[in-house]
Amino acid sequence: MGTLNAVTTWLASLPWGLYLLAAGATLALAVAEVVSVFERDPTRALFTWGSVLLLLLNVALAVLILTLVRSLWAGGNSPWVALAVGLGLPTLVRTRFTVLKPLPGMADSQGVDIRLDELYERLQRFCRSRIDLALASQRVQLVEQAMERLDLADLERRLRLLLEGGLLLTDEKARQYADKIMNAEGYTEERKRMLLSFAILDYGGHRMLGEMLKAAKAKPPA
Amino acid sequence: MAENLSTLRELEDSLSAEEKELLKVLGQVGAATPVELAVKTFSLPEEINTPLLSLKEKKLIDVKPVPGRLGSELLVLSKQGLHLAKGE
Repeated sequence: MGTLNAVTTWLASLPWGLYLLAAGATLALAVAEVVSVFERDPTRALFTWGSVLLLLLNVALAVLILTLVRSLWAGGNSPWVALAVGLGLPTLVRTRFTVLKPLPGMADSQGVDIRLDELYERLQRFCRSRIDLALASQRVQLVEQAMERLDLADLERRLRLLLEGGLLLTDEKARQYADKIMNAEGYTEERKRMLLSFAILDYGGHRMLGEMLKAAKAKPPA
Repeated sequence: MAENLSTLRELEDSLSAEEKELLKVLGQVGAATPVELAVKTFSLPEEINTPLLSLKEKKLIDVKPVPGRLGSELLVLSKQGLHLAKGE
């Protein structure tokens, strides 16, 4: 309790500490939002412009709201208020405020809304689309490298290991996929390499294909 | 609202099994290139070409160019596509 009081007093004496607290809390929630959507590639997703924009915007909003609270209310200089602003921001930006609600019975009795929720959703959609595009670009780039540097036999072996070797829980369709690619009529070796690379990337992950590329680079020429 | 719902239902009824599966997969992953969708459904890209074009015509998917990767396109669900993929 004593420590808590000391921390509270210290934080209260430093306005930037309050801002840091509010920004940190809202940042943690925004990071959790991104990570929960891009479960398969959270780190890469976080280091995209779309993510950075979303995180910065959340922090800026938290700082703005805390400044408003502190200037309007003397009791706003508390770490608890800062924490509440940081944690409450996601709720606030998903709220629709009705500023004016005409009396019932009028021809147009719809209220005047400030649709913060819609604005925030649009912004989230924009950021999500930026993240998706950035991640897709990275995936295509990795597959291009794999097509250039990896042997068809190595790619086939790895995909078979993934889909037929019991590393993944797969059905009959999955177990026949490597055969389907390898026996596809009219497919050039390059096209097979492309499909195999995309399949390894999808079922084995970015890391697996990246490690195959590293191993191929380290391998001395035959 | 009711009109929208009936249009959505009509759209849903018009979908083939392949189109429904592609919508479902796209709903799960959020966004994917056509070749990634093929891989996710254990198909060859040309096998899903026709259903994808049909979904695009029905405005259930949007196509966006991947920046810096000439010729690559990213498929995402449109608002209507999202409703259908969620089964709303």
